[in-house]
Amino acid sequence: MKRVFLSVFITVAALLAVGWPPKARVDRPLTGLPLVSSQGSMEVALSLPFVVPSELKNNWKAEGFAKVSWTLSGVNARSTAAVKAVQPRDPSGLWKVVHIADLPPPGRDDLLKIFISRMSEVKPDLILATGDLGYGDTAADFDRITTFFKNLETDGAVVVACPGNHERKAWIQYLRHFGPDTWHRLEFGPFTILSLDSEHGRDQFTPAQFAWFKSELEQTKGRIVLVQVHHPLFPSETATNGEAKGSGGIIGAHRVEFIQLCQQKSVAAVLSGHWHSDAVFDVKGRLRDDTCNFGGTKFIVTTTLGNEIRRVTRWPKSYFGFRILTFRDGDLISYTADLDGDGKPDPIASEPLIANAGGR
Amino acid sequence: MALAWLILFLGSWLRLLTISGLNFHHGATILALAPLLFVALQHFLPGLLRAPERSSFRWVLAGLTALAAIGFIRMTLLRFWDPAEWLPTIMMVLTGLGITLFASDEGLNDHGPGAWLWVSLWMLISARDPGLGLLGAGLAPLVFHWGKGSKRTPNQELGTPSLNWMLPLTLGLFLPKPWWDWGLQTDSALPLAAFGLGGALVLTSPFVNRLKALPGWAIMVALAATGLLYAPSWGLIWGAVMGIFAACAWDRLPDPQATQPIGAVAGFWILGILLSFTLQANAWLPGLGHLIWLGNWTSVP
Repeated sequence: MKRVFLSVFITVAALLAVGWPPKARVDRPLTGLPLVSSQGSMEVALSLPFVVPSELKNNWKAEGFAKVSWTLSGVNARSTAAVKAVQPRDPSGLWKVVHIADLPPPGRDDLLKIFISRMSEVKPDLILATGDLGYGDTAADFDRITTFFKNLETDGAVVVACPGNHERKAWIQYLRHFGPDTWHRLEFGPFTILSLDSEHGRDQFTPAQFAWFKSELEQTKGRIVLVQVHHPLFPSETATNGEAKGSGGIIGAHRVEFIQLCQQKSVAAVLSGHWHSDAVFDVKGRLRDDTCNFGGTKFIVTTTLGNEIRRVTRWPKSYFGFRILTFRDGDLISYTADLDGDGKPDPIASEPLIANAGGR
Repeated sequence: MALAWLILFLGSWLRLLTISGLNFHHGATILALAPLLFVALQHFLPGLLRAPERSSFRWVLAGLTALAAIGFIRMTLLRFWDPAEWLPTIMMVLTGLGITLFASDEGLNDHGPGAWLWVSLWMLISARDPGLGLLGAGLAPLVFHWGKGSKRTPNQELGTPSLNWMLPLTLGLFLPKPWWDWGLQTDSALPLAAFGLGGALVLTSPFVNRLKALPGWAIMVALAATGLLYAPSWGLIWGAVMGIFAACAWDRLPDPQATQPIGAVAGFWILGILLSFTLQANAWLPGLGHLIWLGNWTSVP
């Protein structure tokens, strides 16, 4: 009995020594993991109950959130973000979602500035950043990316990020900057955004992540579902440069079931990067370079925003770019660019960041 | 003590390393591998790493180990340990050295339910931060040496020698599955907390003698089969059943002081965890990886 009391005493004393005064990590909202809230209330996700940092609480109250409550971080906390009845920024009522992946490496901040400038013209409601965000391994390298995202948010867009394979090379810095929720859900206007972690070296969904994805899809009735995951879902087809410098990797585990689920639940699009090259597949895995009008979930791969350009599929056009997805009345009405200027969107093509900049 | 050393210290240490990755451009990262050296020394030079004989020295050592663990956690709590940072890495190594010295004096087969409960408690606490498992390890010498004099008398019973490698290898292979599966989510800690609880319960249960009557091979087959059948939605039950079989098998481990150094057991535990990590990472033998991860069957295109 004496030892039991001693154990309890030592445990409590050690925990107090470690954690006093109580401090909590705010896991949501974070840069790249926003919290969209309604009715002037804010429910933040904390690593420890009750301890909302007073400085942040005051900041949020200053921004007009009358009530700041908390929820414990973790899987079950992810679905609790309230839906705000946000309005599209476009006066004609179109919703615009911009997709970027494989961001420019350190030393190419000029490309980030060009992108910010382009976004002030496009005025997207959402920007989805699908992995390979930073290529360095220092805190400064990741500060550079969070500053970039904050600049985009200042301009009015909401940025949602998920990790890619390069984040795994400096995983601690990624976790410190973007939080430990590496797969998450966001409700925004008519959209449900499911961001996944395809995990470097595994190129897979773990059973727990896949089970989470499956259960989240059950709660998306009537919503436009967009999924972002760094690795593409389909191979680049035969007779092409499928393993271009190692970028040809695709999702391994749970792939077939994942694709079937997306089709069954009418997911509008699954957005990926990793290839540094554009591609669009239908649910059967066919590269759709014939048309951009086909039914079912679109499996879209977007070229790099500013890293090395590669050619992975038979699609011949390569450049730095981003993709604009436009929605009207719940329908995806365009997701490709009009490169030849004929007034019709071309298949597969993303929006060039700059005409002929680094392209071929 | 050995249970806390293996699961709380070596297990948490390896888990933290797999989270952070290793960048050998930093000297501190190489220092972070020091626990491997301790295990190797335990095996090849078993007399070298021993806690002091005198009780007062042991108390001082236990206190310093606890302080090192507290220092480590204070520096890394909620911001994750980066092995490239010198000070927390030094604290981790000191914690490891302290508990290794105590574990070297301990037998493997003298654990009551208290040790299993300790593992359960700290695995549960580590839901908040995976580094907290190391704190539980660092405090273990203070808790488990309360009222003890100096060195224990080795148990001369032989036990089942093959369990010395089969049990830690099997546990290392399967027990970390929730870690790889859930990543840093709270749920990753719960199956291992259930594991400790299962071990404690079976040792206090009236059924323990019936379970102990089972042949060693049957317990190991049951343990491996349970480990293979991991599924995230069954994590708590899975962990508890793993704990039940593991505690039964643990009780039959030969006394390392009567047979061989405890370092071999730690070595197979580490090997099992590394194998588990590489298999789930599909880094090697991806086909075998899918066998280990039954949840990945549907990945076959």
